[in-house]
Amino acid sequence: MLCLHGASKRGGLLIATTLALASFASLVAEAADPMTYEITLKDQKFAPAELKVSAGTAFIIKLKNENDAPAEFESKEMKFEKVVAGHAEIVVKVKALPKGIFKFVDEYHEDTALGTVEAE
Amino acid sequence: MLAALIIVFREVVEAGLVIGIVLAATRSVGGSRLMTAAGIAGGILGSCFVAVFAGTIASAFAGYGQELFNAAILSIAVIMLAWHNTWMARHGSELAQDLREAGEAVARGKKSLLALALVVGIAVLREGAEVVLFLYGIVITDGGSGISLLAGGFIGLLLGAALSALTYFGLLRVPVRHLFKVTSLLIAFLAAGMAAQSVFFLEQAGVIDFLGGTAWDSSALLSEKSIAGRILHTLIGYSDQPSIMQLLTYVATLTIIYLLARTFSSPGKQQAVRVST
Repeated sequence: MLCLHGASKRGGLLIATTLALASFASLVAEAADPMTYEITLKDQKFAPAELKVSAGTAFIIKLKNENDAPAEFESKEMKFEKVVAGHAEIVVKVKALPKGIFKFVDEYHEDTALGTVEAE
Repeated sequence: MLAALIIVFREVVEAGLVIGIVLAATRSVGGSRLMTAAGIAGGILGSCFVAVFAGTIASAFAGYGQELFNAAILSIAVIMLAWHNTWMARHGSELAQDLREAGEAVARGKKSLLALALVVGIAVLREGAEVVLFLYGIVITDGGSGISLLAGGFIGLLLGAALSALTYFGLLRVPVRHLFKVTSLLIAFLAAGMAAQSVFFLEQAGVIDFLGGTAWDSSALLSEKSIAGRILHTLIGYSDQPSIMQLLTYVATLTIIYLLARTFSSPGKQQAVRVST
């Protein structure tokens, strides 16, 4: 009985913490309105293949896949990996980057379909 | 062909390891192999569904459906793993020591098995959908010339299965009286890694938007995307650039699983209380 009581107490605390965190999260999420860049994937080419962004600011990339085949939009350096179906669109959030050049690829054709983001 | 092999193999590494660990963890519970097989079959079926509806899932929730879907199924897997470990802490010793007592425990173990079958299904589903989409893409773009690519993909799948077998037989070399401890530890780390990964997806979707600073950057040392990085990522949740929130979640998950196992474990005293109720 004793340990059951302890467990339910802990559960309650967990729920309360989760709720508090969730409401905090929604508050923060409304605050920012990041810049969105659009990229199109056609055959095995990104257009534009080179993107310039300002360093130190988070931004969003919207990728439109104009192929019949699905692709996987991935960047190890910018920390995203997302499947995009044929003739579909996805968005990825990118955290604020330090100055430098960051690669992205279609993982399914990573030798040919590649591009870069330059943060300056 | 080699490229296709590598792409598919690195997608199935996670599922391969999870299946091997689950098989070893449930070795002495009757019907565990059938349950694992059902988990794999369910995961493959689910992969096909997810692949077909990839566009719909991606565009759901303002474009963050994929992240939220991943976060949700990972959370389910974490809960199932935690549940299994708690169950094992209570009944594991019965299974290991006394076969007569074990009969009863096995009957009650079915629920725990179901939980692990679900974990296997989720592990297969997560990367499986990407494999299905990749192979489908090869077929519709390269047509007949895609045969060698497809062959590469299937060899990648076979290598994933081989990794499962390697993990399983490797774990079987551990003496039986230590096996529960070892698999419980593996499962705890597996769960902690999945919880941190789930936080990553929630961060991507913008649901969690605090404590997002990078805790460390070891990408130059060992990339998370290399095969070794992926294996470590699955086994202990290795990440080359975890956020502070991911790190906290990781530690919290390990702590909670440890506390649950300790609270519900069955030393002599608690067993007596249990019998009297």
